[in-house]
Amino acid sequence: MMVGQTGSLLVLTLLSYWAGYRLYQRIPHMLMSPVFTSTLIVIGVLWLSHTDYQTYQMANKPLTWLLGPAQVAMAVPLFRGWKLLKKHLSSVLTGVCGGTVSGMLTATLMGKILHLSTVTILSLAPKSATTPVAMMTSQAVGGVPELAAFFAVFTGILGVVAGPVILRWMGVRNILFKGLALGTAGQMIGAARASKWGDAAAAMGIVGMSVTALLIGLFTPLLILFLI
Amino acid sequence: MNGKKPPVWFVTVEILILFLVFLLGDAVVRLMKWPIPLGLLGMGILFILLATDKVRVHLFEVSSRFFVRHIVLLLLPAIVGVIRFWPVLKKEGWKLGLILVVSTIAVLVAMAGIARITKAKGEE
Repeated sequence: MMVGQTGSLLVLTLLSYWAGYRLYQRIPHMLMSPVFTSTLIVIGVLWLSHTDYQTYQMANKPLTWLLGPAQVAMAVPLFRGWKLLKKHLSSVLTGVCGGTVSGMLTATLMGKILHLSTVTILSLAPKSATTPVAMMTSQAVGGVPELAAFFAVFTGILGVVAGPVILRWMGVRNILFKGLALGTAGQMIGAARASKWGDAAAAMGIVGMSVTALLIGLFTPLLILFLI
Repeated sequence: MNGKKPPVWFVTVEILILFLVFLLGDAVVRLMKWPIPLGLLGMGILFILLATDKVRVHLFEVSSRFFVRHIVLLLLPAIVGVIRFWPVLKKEGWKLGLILVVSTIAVLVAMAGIARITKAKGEE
């Protein structure tokens, strides 16, 4: 019986994702992303069938395990953008470092000022990294991986909504830099949006995303010293 | 892609190799007790293998594209996990929303500012 339940909960995730994915192909709008629709379907089914999250999480371990290889696979698009990265190394590093540190400090300081718990702040801090890295980072420093995933996904969406507007408003015209900024602010979702400006911008988006993930992985442990 | 479609089992092998690289990075991180997130070191290892021509990039063509396109599927269990923190989100929701918005704007404004300064130095 237990095996049947485990299997069906895994199938639930796959089916919900498939339904959400098809829906998104029909209506390609930010708010129709599987992030929202598939999540709502799963939560709805769990609620109706009185399944607790623990059981669901255990059943879906295989998918969570795949996050490791998924993060490793990010080396491939980064390698493709390597030529561009080498060419613009100094401006890439300055830009991504400045952007990432500003974002992390802003989030941490605001969290302190608004009296959020340290656990919540540690789940917020790595939100600009790719979602798997945000999860693993928060876990390493004592945050909550699920919250970190939630914040990271939301940050990606915000980055895509606000990014093009702010960059235009601040007079940034260089397409490569715009791609880099979207990848830095909105990781994977941002990098995907950057591809609208062409292949070079998309490659820079991937570069921004990867460098940000690396920096956050290295900087977050230092934040703990600052928080305690 | 040179028009040849790799067989399905090939993807499984790709993912297994990626998994091994991940475990290798994981083992190093645990041994060294580095507080860096798992996965990043694995990504670094694979990147170095690619950059030094030890591994051909097209070996991971299919799996890396699959992961980029369907990352949400792998994240679903974690995102659904947010229901456990519903009380936190309900209580602190406006604060969290404000922080997410402001810090995202901070990233973008900082980068745009840096772009202007470096442009002034004649970098394009």
